[in-house]
Amino acid sequence: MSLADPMCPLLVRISEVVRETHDTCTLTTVAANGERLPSFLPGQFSMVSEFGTGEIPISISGDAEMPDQLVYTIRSVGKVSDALIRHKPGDYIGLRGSFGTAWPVKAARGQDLLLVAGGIGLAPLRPVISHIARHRNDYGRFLLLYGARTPKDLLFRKQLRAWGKLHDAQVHITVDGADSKWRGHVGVVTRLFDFAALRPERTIAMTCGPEIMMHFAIRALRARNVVNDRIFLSMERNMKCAVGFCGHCQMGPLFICKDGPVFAYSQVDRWLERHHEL
Amino acid sequence: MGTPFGMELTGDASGTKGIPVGALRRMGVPTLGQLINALRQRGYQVIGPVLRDGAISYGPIGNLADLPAGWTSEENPASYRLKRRSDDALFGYATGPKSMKDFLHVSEIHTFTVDRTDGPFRILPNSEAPPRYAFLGVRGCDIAAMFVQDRVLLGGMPADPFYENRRRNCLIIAVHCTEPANTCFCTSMGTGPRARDFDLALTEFVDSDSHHFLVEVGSEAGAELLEQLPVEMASAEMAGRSQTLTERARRAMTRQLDKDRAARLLQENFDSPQWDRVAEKCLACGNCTMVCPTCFCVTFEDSSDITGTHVERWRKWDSCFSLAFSYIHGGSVRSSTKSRYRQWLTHKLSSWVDQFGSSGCVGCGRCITWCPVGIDLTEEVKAIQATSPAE
Amino acid sequence: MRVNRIEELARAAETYPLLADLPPEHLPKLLEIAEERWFEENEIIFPEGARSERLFLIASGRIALETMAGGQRIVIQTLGAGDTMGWSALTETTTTHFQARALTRVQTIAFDGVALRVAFKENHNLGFEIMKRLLALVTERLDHTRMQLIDMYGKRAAKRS
Repeated sequence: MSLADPMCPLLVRISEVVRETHDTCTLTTVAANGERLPSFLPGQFSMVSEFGTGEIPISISGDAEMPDQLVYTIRSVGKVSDALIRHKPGDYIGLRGSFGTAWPVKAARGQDLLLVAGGIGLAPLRPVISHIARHRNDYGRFLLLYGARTPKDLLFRKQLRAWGKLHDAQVHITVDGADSKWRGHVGVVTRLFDFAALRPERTIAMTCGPEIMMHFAIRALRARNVVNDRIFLSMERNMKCAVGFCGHCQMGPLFICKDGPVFAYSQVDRWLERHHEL
Repeated sequence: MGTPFGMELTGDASGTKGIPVGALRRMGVPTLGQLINALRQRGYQVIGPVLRDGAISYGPIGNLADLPAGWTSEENPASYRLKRRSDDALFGYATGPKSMKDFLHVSEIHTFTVDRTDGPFRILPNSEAPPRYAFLGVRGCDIAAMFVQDRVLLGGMPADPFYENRRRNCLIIAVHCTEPANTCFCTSMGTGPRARDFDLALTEFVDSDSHHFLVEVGSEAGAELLEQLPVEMASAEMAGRSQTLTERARRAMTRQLDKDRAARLLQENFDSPQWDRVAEKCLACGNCTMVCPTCFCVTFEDSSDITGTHVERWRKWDSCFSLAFSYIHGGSVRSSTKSRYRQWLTHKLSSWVDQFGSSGCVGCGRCITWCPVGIDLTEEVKAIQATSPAE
Repeated sequence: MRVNRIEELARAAETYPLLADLPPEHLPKLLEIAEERWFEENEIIFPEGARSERLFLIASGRIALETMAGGQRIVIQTLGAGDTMGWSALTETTTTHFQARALTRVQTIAFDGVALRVAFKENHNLGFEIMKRLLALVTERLDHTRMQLIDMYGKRAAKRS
């Protein structure tokens, strides 16, 4: 009796490495042995293996309509991510799945979209922006508020400019600190709400970033009358298996790996508002 | 029964010639030895109680002599002592540190190998031939725990293939519990002392002039096994005595836990001061999670040879009591012992119900016995109840 | 001409959190003190450590609050239309804590600090109304500063791989 092991990764080849910042790279991967790559929806993640070091969850940051590649934007924060970003094109790594829930891209058709991203949190939202860019007429106003630590930490700089030029789109960027050469905003990402002409009754908000940032972003959204059902966020926990049986990623009764990582705020507010090391 | 969760038994009880499912038989001690032999001949690895490391543990059984005749255990919070019995009972103990989890959801397993000795990377899944286990002497709480793990490991998509491979072929010869430990509370959790969902179940009778068993047939596989053995019809008196013994065991259990109330209570008491008090005692050692027959958490580790050409990934039991368990870069989500104990107890008794439709606790009391500081979850629930504003 | 422009701005008082919902009887006194001031791109509006002279409401344009750290000039925060700047002018004997530099051409309504303090002393109701709003603004700014201090995108605090 041999059952397919959901823990066994697919071998993939790295076809391109783009250095985004001093600690972050974007890896494009393609199938190594003629197998088909799994398809994905914006917001889903994969388990990415550095053989001999370990496996970590990474959100897919590529375009869901390009099925021949899977793209990951990885920040070096530990031994696995550090090894991953040191790869060169032609190297091999392992992938499991596209796992978890997706941003409500379909349900948001016809709505204004407000994206609030912080730091590496822009990466899991990039597939949403790629989708909107491809299907611009399906959506109302597009607004991206993006906060980073310093100007040097900004991801996807060229694309940020291009996204700002989409029809009826605004991209506002702020950093926590900068030298005097920086001409943009300095301050927390929630200050950017002052520039956002929000229509709360027709806005779908999606936020991704450090939990504390999402907490403040959600507070700002609610202060502007965006209701909990219209606010979506992507949670991070220590996923090990990604299919709900390693137990690591629980928050209350939720398994972040399979019930999330993307949640409507109304699904998780009672857990997040507690601040109880849940 | 040996049938995993979600797979219905098909087949007709009348299909076996002599002994129907539900039948009762009398069996002498030597026949139990023949039963062990019969299982081994059918390719089962027989797992049963053995004296090991100063405890009555579960391990491979070759013959009758491997069973812990005349031994029992005395269990209290933070205390486990082997004791001599005044008789030669083979199953005269309650629970040891091991459960079926140790065999079905193993503590360490190799999941795959990555090899590139010949140049290109090759990923080789673990294609083990899984062992076929016959569990002898397991209790109602143990069997209930296995069904709890079924819902976790087989109830989702995908299933855990290593568990499923072991689980699908196992056979269960239970023993009804007649002498519960001081730490037991299976009656509260509805899992004992009488076992359910077995292939065969034994009640042991040790009298001055006779040592024998009542055997209940729980499945066709059990009936088929029994037909090959010299068993006699059981008297109504034996059946009544079996009920009397388990009823006495039920009344002997003093620890209690109101499971439905606990499930609600823990949802509403994240702020209970009792969490601080228990955290002062808790060593966050994780013993409770290791001996718990339902705790299922695992982690994964890679090991490689020095050249990196041969890498193995291993799956190992993990514990929510470790700081690393909830680590995401920047720190652990549950950084205090308080938050980790709260996670364990709240998950076990409350959010488990939301996730899998049943409590994660079967009332076996192992976590009480094996806690080095004697934390007793039934007492913790009571203390939280006492300070709950809603109560 | 000067007065007209100020009055025009005063009509837009609601767009300044410092003046929002201010009882109308207080506006004339404030208008008497207010003067319109323009700054060119890159112009230093006030230097760090100077005597605080004016409280500014920013009507348009963007301003950087800067300080020296580690031998280089860094931006602490940027301010824009609607924001209030130069609070230290309301406290006696203090100096500016940061340098304010115009990032674009900037239009402001400026209030002489001494004149404001005298007006508040003469009319405690006016002083209370303004100080109450200022406290709310300071609290908000402090909150934002605390969030910056968390360094939430840094490796120790951030929680997203």
